[in-house]
Amino acid sequence: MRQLAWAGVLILSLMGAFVVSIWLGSVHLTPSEVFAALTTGGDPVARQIVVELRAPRAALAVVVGGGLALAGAVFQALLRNPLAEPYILGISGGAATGAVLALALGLVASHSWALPAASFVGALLAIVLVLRVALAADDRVDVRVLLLAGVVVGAFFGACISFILSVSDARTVRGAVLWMMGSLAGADWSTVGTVTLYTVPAAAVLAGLARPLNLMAIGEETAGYLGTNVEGVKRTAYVVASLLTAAGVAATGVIGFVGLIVPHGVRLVTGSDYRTLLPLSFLAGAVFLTLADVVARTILSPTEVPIGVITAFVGVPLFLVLLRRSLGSAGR
Amino acid sequence: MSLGRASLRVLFRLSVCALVTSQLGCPSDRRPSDDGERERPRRPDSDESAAEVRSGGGYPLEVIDDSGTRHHFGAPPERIVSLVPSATETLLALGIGERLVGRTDYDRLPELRGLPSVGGGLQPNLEVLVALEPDLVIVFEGESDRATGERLRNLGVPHFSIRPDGIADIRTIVERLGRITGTTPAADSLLAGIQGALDDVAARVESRPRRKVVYLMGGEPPWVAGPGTYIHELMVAGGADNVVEDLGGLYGPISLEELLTREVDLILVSEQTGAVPPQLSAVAQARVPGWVEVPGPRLGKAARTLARLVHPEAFR
Repeated sequence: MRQLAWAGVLILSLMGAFVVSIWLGSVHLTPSEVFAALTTGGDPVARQIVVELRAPRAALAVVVGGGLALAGAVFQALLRNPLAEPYILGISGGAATGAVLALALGLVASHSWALPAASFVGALLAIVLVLRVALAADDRVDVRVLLLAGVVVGAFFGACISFILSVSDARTVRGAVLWMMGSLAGADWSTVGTVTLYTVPAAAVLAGLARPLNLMAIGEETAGYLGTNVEGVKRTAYVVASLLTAAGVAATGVIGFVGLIVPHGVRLVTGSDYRTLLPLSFLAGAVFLTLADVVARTILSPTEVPIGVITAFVGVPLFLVLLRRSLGSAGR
Repeated sequence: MSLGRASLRVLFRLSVCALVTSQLGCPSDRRPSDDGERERPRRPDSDESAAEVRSGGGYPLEVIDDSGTRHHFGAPPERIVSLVPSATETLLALGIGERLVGRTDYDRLPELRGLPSVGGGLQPNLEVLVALEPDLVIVFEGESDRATGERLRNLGVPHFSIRPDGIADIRTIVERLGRITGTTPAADSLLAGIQGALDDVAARVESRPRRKVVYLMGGEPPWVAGPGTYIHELMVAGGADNVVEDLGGLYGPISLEELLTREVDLILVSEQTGAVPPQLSAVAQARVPGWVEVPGPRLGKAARTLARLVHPEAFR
């Protein structure tokens, strides 16, 4: 019941966040101007700002924020490690290596899709590499090996990035740094469409894993006795959550903290039943990133603050408050 | 994030370097600075993709920009936003500052102060830009910011890409901006002024023995201006030989050992970012004001300033 109430609150918040996101921006528009732009047309410039710039951005924040938070919740369940987040298994490193390589080779200058494509390929490479290492040890996926393999592969890609950047010119370095800071500024409807195409099926698959993940939280052996295909669940969870993350990273660069903080926050408030935790994490991540983006583009307007800064500045204190409060109630 | 801490440190250092080398014209000198046009990417020398389709001055006219895109101009643009500070400077020098309707955070000339800012020159705030309803936006061509031109095209905002990397580029850009804006006579006289200054510098340093010079950007190990940079071109024009010419490439780090083994007559130091390592303190040094590093219409003055530091006696 309580979870249902939270779901309602989050859905309303998401709608509110979306409205705020297309209403507020560097250019002042009244609510009636926004409404006119969305319906009859109104002023062509206002229409362009609302329909072509703000709305796709808000939509991208929803799918990427939701996807990152969901992937983070799944990784925390899968790895049974509270520090797990969507990038922990080297995905950000792989994606960044792809992006930096594309920049350094000058591919980006001739093809605008080269950057997201290369970062997606880099992320896929990291995913495959980590899974191969984790499987090589044993035919089963040992989540400790998976974690270690992910961290090591991530470190390796980090070194690749440093190397590529050290032999690149300053333009490449600047482009790479901008990319790695993460931003929703590149959002247009085709990006939103592509990311949504990944996010919807991936989210459905992950939500379907809620029950086995619940059982596995008790213990892999117990889950196996209760009829769960533990190996299958682990592999599916890893691959699908990784793909979801990869799609987000390719579209927006590396946006930190959402995947770490949001699932924990939701868990602290509603408990750790994955059947509710996973969908609520998606909703909360979507609300959080949408609002963070509003702050990122309005607080120092017309300059944009990197959104990762906002997710950290807003997310960390919020999270700490929740953490303190849960400790307090647990102690009583 | 799984980028290791060590690599993050390297990245941070590199990003600081990138920022440092991008923000030319420090706030204190109150001159337009340049958001990133000094690093010349490797590209074929044949810049002739830039050749004009049609000349003759009158409208309508077509001009190809540095991205290879053909642009059609039916009339002189009246609402211009330049995301490239050196191009902003050029438009002011052409006497059409009143057509500018926006600026970037890096444009700090007093005559631009009243204009709304669109943020940085790379990844500008598109919504502010669109709201200004420009009929011409001048954007950087290059890897740093591929997205902006693409987005502007999708939004139907007319834009023109330029890549001001060296002396030849500056000439081309002045000429093209003059034609696009219908100010060819002003552009011609600006170019003639630049050429006059360059000729004067050449005549003065011609008979002097060339001096061996290195240009330090700062950093540890120190970053130097390699061949292919605008600074290198200015050094050569000013009667100096760049001692790191053989290193190839653009700006990059050089080990102190390597630098010590080269016979350097004079160290030029970037005033904003540069510091001379103590091991090199025995060598003669001169500080170069930040605006010299901006590849823009002050090219003639920049060449003269640099040449004067290299051969002070030639300017007595």
